Amino acid sequence: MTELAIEVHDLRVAYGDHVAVDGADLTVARGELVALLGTNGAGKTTMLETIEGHRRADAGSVRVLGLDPGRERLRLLGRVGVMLQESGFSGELTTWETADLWRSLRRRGGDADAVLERLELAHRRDVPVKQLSGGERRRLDLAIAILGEPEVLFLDEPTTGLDPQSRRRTWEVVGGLVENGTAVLLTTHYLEEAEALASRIAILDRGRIARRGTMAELVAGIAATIVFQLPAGAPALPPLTAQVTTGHGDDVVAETTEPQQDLRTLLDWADAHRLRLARLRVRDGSLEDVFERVAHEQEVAA
Amino acid sequence: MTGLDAMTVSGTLALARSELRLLWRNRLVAATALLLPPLMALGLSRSSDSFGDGGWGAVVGLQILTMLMFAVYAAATTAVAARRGELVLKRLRTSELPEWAVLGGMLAPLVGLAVVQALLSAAMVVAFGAPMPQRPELLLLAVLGGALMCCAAALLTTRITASAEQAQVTTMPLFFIALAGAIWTISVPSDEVTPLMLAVPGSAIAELARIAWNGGGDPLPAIAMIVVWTAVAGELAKRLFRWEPRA
Repeated sequence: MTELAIEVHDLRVAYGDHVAVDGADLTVARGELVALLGTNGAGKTTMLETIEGHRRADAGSVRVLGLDPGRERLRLLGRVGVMLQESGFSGELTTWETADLWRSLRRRGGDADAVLERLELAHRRDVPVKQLSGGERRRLDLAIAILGEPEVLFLDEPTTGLDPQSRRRTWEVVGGLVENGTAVLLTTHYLEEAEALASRIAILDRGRIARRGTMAELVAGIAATIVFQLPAGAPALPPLTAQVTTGHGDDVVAETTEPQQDLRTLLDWADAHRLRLARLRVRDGSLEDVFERVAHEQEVAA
Repeated sequence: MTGLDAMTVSGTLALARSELRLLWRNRLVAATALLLPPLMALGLSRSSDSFGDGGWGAVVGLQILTMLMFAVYAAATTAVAARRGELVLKRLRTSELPEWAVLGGMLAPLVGLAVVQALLSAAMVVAFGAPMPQRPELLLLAVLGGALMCCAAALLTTRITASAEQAQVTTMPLFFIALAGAIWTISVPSDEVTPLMLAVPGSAIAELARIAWNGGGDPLPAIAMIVVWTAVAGELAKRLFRWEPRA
């Protein structure tokens, strides 16, 4: 069994009457990256900050490396790296001054220059933080979070607003840390980020974990989609297992759990009628579909 | 783990150094810090006769208090509100420094500057014709104790200060109370100062400085009041302090 770095059980956090996290469970093993997804206001940041020890849990238990982050915050901080949703740096300090300050605020601070190098910020070392681009500032943020090679890393929307190059660099660095055994818990709005990085994904909805599992587990049972356009005057479609609806423009959207069978039926039918199906494409069930389904359930419940 | 170890000390110093850097880079703050004491010394020394029997001690007492209220109380309230607004405080809390060290490192440069400014202005007052202070160690105590009291009061004031700009307003009440109390106190000779006068927060700082300079009177009641107000404000700040913005 892999050793668990983060264990959250039945966590509840409320702000007055508003229950932000309402009975959430979560585990992250060493050398694993778990992505926490959810709509705005689903409770991601609150949950993350409670696990970090920034907020008090109203009920339930949180263990990070076997310690209680609420009560044993200081013992934990040396082993944990945190990247908040917003940086929290003084704009007047330079990149290097900021990294150097943070190096001295950690027991195993490591090398400020090396970490700037790693995040491709070495050429910006003498620039005041306020003059950095959004992507550079976010990379500085990550550089500081990973000073001293933490055992556990919390990343709150690490790539929001980043250009593709910054995002790729961030992914490489985070992926490298995970390979070296760091446990990472990350929130993100980018589904492709979760797909690319996470071994497991949890979708938070109104303070509860609505879905959890590996990518394969999450999309299992989610229909594949066949999309095409029918030429004018085409006869009625053959019987398909798919649920057929109209999409954007003239798109016909067939959602099916038997894409192979339906596709064969559809193509045989088109051949027989000498029809050309314009813009034909097939797409497997995606995280986006899972996400939309959760959002849809939310609307139905509301 | 909350105790003093090498990393806590070096980390606090590193934080203090970077705060000093920030002060220096903010030209307005730096200029005020350097120019305020000599200007005040000049202004007050011209009116050294207007405080009756208080003599030079009264001038210096009022001057030190005013300086501490500006350079420590108002400056610390502004700085902490600003760092909180920039989320620097929240981020620093993810470092390995204990909370008291984060605030200590942040405020240490202001205290240090205040001591330097006080020494400067004392020197200037002497240059303008005042005699040397009778008990310089008490003068240092007034400055240091007063600076700590101002830090504690500033941390408490940040509770009602949503932004750095607001600090100009939220620091006003204590500013005037302290000055009014000090003027009230030094308007009578040291041996006629009542406990009520000394109990006005801030007036004890001016009185202790006057005693230090003039040499007459018992410093203990003034010292006690500085300790009491520092402890009260510190304890309240500890309970009410906010590390993040948001009302």
